[in-house]
Amino acid sequence: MNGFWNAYSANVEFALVAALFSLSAFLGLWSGVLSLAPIAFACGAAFTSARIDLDHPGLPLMAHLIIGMLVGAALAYVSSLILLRLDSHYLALATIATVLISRVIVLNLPQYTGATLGTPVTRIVSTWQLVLILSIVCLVFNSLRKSRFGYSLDAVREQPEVAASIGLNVLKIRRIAFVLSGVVGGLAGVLQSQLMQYITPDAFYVDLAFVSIAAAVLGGAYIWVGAVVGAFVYAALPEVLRPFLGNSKNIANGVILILIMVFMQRGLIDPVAIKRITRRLRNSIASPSQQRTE
Amino acid sequence: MKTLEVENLCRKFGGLDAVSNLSFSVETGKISGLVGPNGAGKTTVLNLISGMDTPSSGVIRINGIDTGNLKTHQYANLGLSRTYQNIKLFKGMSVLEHVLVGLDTRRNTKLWQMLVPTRVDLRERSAMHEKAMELLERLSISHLAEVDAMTLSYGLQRRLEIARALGSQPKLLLLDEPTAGMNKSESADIKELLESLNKEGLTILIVEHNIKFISDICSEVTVINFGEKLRSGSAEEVFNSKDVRDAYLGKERNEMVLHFEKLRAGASRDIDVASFSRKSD
Amino acid sequence: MQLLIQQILNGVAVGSAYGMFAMSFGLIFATMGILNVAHGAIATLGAIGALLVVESWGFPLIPALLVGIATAIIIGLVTDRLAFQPLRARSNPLGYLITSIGVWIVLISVAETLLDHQIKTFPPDFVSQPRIITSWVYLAPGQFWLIIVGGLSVVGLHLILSRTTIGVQIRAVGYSEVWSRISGVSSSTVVLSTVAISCGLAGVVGILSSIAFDNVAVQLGEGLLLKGFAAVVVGGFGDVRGAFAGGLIIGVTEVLGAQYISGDFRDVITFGLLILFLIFRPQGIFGEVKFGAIK
Repeated sequence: MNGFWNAYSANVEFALVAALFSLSAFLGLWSGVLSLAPIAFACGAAFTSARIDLDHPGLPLMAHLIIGMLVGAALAYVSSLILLRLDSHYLALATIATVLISRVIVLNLPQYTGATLGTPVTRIVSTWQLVLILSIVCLVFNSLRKSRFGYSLDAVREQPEVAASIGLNVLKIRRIAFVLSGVVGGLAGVLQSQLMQYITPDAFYVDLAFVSIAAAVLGGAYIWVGAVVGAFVYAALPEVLRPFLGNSKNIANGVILILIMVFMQRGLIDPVAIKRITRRLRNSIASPSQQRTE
Repeated sequence: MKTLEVENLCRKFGGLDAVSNLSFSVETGKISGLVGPNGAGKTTVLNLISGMDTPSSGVIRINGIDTGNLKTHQYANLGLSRTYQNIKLFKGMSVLEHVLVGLDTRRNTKLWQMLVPTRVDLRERSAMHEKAMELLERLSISHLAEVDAMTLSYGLQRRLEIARALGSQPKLLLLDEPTAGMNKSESADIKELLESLNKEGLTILIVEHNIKFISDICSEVTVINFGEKLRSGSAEEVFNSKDVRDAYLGKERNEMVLHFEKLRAGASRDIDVASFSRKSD
Repeated sequence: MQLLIQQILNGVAVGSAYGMFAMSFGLIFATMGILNVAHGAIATLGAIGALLVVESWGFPLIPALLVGIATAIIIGLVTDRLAFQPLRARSNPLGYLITSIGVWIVLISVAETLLDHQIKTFPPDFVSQPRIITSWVYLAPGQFWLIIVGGLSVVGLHLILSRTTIGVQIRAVGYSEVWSRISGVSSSTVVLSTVAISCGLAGVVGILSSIAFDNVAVQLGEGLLLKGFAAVVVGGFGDVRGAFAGGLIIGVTEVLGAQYISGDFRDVITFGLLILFLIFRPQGIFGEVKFGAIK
């Protein structure tokens, strides 16, 4: 057990934070919007936290987390004013553009970010704190899932026009989801920067954005658990496959992603499929006279 | 008092006048019909009334309120609800969950109360659960509460759409071809349901192709063709009028039918209006 | 003044690369509605294909070019068949993007392995003609060819799309798949042709750019992708001429911006333009709002 931990502790920690990135991507998907923007929000949060740490060292972890969440939320709110008015295809492209622009901004504010040289970050978070943070976030998602907001999100995703005629303010709901994705993204950004201990302009770029959304979809874009599972599968896969594929592990990730999209497009965790399977199990366990048909 | 007033409604799509100077109204507590041949503009009219489309000109008033500047999601608070020609259910949701969404306008919890399971939230959830089950009971589908809505039969899906629409406690219900694809007994069930809802005070506007259904249930019918109003009145007046029959049958065939009717003079004067509805394309 | 003209020319050269890539990228997007993030990697692999035959077997320019183009086309067709084709029956735009991410991951890994994780270059003076040196301007051979091939490609592609049968079919499918099928257009032929043209062009850009900018690296393809994407937004999706024009605009603005405002601000201008267009005129300067019909 110790051997495993020594070898893989870094992987596990990065996977825990990757789950947060994945959840932030999932929030967009939950409202029917393909948004890579949370990575840009994470970038802003990370560099702000790093800067503040340089100017005022010794702040407790909680302070950094709150800063991260507030910065993420603020960036998300402001960009939502521009982005959410766009039609869905353009919206997705525009969120990619925000990630590109975030890097440009980092490069052009050397006083705050160190530009190409980057900024060092002191790590103050422990592994158990990471687990705790992720657990709390998961609890919040779970609480939202069958809440009024959760059902509104489902409706807005599936049939936005119908949702509007039922009385749901689609734009407002999407904006709230967007800001929440900024909160979670900001959190992820601060934690990621502490794990990396040195952040550069490339730390929060399109590769991270793509991986986050891919993990969310792979795990199952229709329920928050999918995002977490997807992130862990995505992190674990290269290691699991290493004995077979050596250094071609990245290729394996890509191939797995393609296979999942072709054969299990609703992802690994699909609530609809799960309900169907559990019903069939229940029916087959029940005696023939008790079996119900709809 | 009129629940719905439509005045000089126009909707142009480039060169096409989908709706042209249409005026009609629906009295409170009545069941009204909106009919017309395919392509007449009926669904466009419903979309304009329900706020899913914007008129090029004209006024729509719901319970006296001009809806001109309202956004789509504000119509539910005015007391309006609708169903759709092509059933639009939420994929992945159960029957009960559909109705829970429909009840949204009656809920008060704020976001911060939902981030963790607070007492306020949990209490509202169980209250909504109860209300939803009541509604399903009313529509006789409460036994299907946990069923995935997409697996329901067609007739039951249409029923669910109505249940969802009733969630906001509307005063005006718009139905777009509620009996499309149904057989006689299913249509009869819908008729019974609508009549009992109407008795409780719900004003209903139905767009339909099924002339018999409309004649049985509606106290007033408006016929439109090519986006313009042809005639308004009771079902009997309207379906026996020459211009309506011309619109449905085409002038020549109408002449032929009238000719044969004269030959059959002495036989029952009741016209089987069902035989005049054109087959849907 | 002379500096201005020189920089404008530099901008046109770079812009030609962006423009060609934008056309190839925009063609797929306009016809099939696929936002293919792997397209940059295809350009890179085309360049790598050419580089490999030059390094290992000393191929001269034209054959190497052909090999590179063929590489890009084959990879494009294979990935389309394996990854995108199965999704076509479903109308899930999210699926395409995610799959293209998977394809991108695979292709990038392959490219890095082939390059041994280094930045390579074509042999010096691989393309040594023509070097334009006048008292007004200087144009390196790589830049020259980018401009010439760029011009030829936009004219050629436009003619193909507007005058040939297959071109009309491609545009028909881009407009409406159902109606074009009713008219007898085979959508699989169209798909094959679109992918072939698009990836072939990407291969050309990849090779010429790596010669002109003197590096064969994964970043090259990614840079083309991002700038090409910006070019398509600025110029417009629907018409290839618009996409090419968008590329020129971005290229010239970028170079002039770097010269006269600040080197660091080069990308700010590009992406600033991008954002402005997305907000105020998402269909681009020349575009109409139309999206791919093959799902």
